[in-house]
Amino acid sequence: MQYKVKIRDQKILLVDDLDYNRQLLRHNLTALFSTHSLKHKAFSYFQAHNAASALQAFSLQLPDLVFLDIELPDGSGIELLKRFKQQKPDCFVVMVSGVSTLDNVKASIAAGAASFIVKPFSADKILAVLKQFDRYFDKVLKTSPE
Amino acid sequence: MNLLFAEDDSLLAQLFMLQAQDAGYQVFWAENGDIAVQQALSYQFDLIFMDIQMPVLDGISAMQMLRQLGYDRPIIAMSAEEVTEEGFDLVLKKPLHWEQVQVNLAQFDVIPQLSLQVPPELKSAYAAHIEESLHQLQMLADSARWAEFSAIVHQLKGSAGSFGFEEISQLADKLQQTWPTLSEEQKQTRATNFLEQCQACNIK
Repeated sequence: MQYKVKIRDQKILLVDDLDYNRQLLRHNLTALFSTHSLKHKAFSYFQAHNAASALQAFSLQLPDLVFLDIELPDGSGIELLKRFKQQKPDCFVVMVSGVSTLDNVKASIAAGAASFIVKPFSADKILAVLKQFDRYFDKVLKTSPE
Repeated sequence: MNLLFAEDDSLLAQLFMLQAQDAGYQVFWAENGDIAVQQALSYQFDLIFMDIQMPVLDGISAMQMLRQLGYDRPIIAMSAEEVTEEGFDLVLKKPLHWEQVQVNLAQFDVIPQLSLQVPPELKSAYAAHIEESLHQLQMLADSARWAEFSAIVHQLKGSAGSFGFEEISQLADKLQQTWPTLSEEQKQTRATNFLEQCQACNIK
């Protein structure tokens, strides 16, 4: 009897207080996954609109990729990022911010962010992150125990 | 081709911009590494020229920060000294000679710009959200609830541009920049002015 090895879906968590932003991001992620030659493109989405629900969703799903707004109504995205990295150190977190000051970028990197997107969203910014994630996730799969 | 030119010496920058613009290139000047990183993250440039010795953030740290964040577009270092750090696509010896720069530029390509897909129904839903936000802003301004007012302006600044309402985003950005310096009375006037400007935009 033959067994097919199924590579599990990647889990993506989108955290933004504005529903429209999450919809826009999800729509464009799906579009980019389908039109660009990325290796890892099987995915399931989860969403959260504030820090509390993001933490809950994260603990439950342990996603591989997170888009995390830096300013949430009930807490700081950077603090949340630290909690995520404690729970799942190899999680790839992309900070999303309306403000690209060096302090913001540095604080994000120091807290474990893999990348940083400055709003407004553009397809080029999102694609650059997905390519980076593709390379990163390859390494994670190779080093993780079967 | 869009170039980002990071150089703290304004005379050198002006010279480069004149030569490059003459040859048909678009150039944006960043006067230090900090501004260079912020600009690069807009992903609007095909190529970055990075001086090594710059204030606030030097060229090597700026390049390394961008590479760490997954920035995979070409970065050219410019230096009178030798540059051994990994991450640059090319090192040009200073002083730069335009003829030599042009020869080197030929090996880099324009990076095709991808456009964000905004489904029409999502765009019109967001347009309705802007209208509602403006209405809310009016009420908040009438009762001088400035903290809540600022929070909504901040959200508009961050989001409107993604949905194709760049004008609203820019107006919100402008308001935010001067807001902390305004007196209570000035805030009322400025808020009214802002709301009028937004209403004049085509929100559809």
